[in-house]
Amino acid sequence: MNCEKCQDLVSDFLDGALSHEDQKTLNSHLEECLDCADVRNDLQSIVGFCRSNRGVYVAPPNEKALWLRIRNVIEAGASPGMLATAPERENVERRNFWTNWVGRSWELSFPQLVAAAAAIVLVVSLSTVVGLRRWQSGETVKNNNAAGAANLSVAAENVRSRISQQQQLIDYWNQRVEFNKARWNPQMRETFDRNLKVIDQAVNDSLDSLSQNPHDEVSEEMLNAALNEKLSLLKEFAEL
Amino acid sequence: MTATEIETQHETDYALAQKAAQGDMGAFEQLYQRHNRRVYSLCLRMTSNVSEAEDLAQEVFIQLFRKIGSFRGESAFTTWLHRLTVNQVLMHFRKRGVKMEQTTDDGETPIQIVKGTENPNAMPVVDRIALDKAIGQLPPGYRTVFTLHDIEGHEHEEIARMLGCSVGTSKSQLHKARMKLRGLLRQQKANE
Ligand SMILES: [Zn+2]
Repeated sequence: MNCEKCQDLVSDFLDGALSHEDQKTLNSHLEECLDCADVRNDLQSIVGFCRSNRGVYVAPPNEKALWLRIRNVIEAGASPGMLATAPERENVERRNFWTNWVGRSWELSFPQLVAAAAAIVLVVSLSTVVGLRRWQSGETVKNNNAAGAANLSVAAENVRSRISQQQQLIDYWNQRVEFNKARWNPQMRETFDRNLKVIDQAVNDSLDSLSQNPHDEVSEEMLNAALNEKLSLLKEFAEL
Repeated sequence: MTATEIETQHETDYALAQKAAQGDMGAFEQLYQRHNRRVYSLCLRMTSNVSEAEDLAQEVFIQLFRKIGSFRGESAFTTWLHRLTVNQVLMHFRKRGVKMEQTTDDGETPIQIVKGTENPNAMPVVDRIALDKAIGQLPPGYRTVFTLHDIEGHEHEEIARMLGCSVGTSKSQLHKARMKLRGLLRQQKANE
């Protein structure tokens, strides 16, 4: 047996797939050929390591955030095509995303966001007369309708939990952006920083107003909206 | 931990899958918690890329949710999910035009027979970090067969079926992958 033939058979040998005959010939070659014995030993330690580590798993970088991403998609009922992973996404499509952000002018000021959020709250509140009345009069929690008040505080609780989930997602995407940032060109960096600054301003404004009035649902909705924008900015830039 | 969460801990995968098929997100989350590491690890080993692996794991669980009603409990849930994961990664490779069959080592040079003392460096003791790094440098076709056979423990017959190639091809790809890994591990040591 020559070395070429021998090394061809080493893998089958390690997997126990050699005939008795072949095994014998192989063994006699391995006894006298150090090079081939070396190959056998090396492959054996690679295969042995893998076998003994079977069932050892790595956790994703952020299990919780990955779960939230999955749940968001499932709950949104998005089609599988929308979930194209970065390398699959067409370059053209990517360029469109990109120009979209470059050309985007962030004129949303705090009062405008308040108005937008107010509209959302108004729609939500219309379902309960109490909510509507409370909205119009700007009354605080002093309500004679106990059930209505309970509904409202549940709604506020939902907003708060949504905001905390968004914050986790933002942290996750932030990490991915940081990871890719090094290979951006200056124009990309400028666009990203400019957009982020405007959004962060809106986030801070709503946080300020929430710290003064913790039960202000308008500010909560506004914060929610600003965080949503931040999330979509990060997501899109994370792919670039 | 809520009462429901404690309760679901004792439930079988099959029972959770049935609940999830009815739209029970709590049950589905339990399945995610039980299996996400396994799914992610397989994606990571086949792609050697953290963000690709995360995206793929995400897609696997979304597909799982959509298909979970078709799980009848005939095979183990883990086997079923494993198969779903492998399919997802292979589909991802195909979309990217990754060739699964490496005809030669790097598309150019055929596999080299080790002769004489051309590489005086002994191969270092295999450890996780070094091996993962070397696996990352393998061409995708080699990496896939190596992951499925040596890491995951599949037989060549199963691999051939999954990849749509012959058993002989699966065997020779595996051998070439191991030889290439050996070279890479030695090289790593030489470069230290
Ligand atoms: Zn020899």
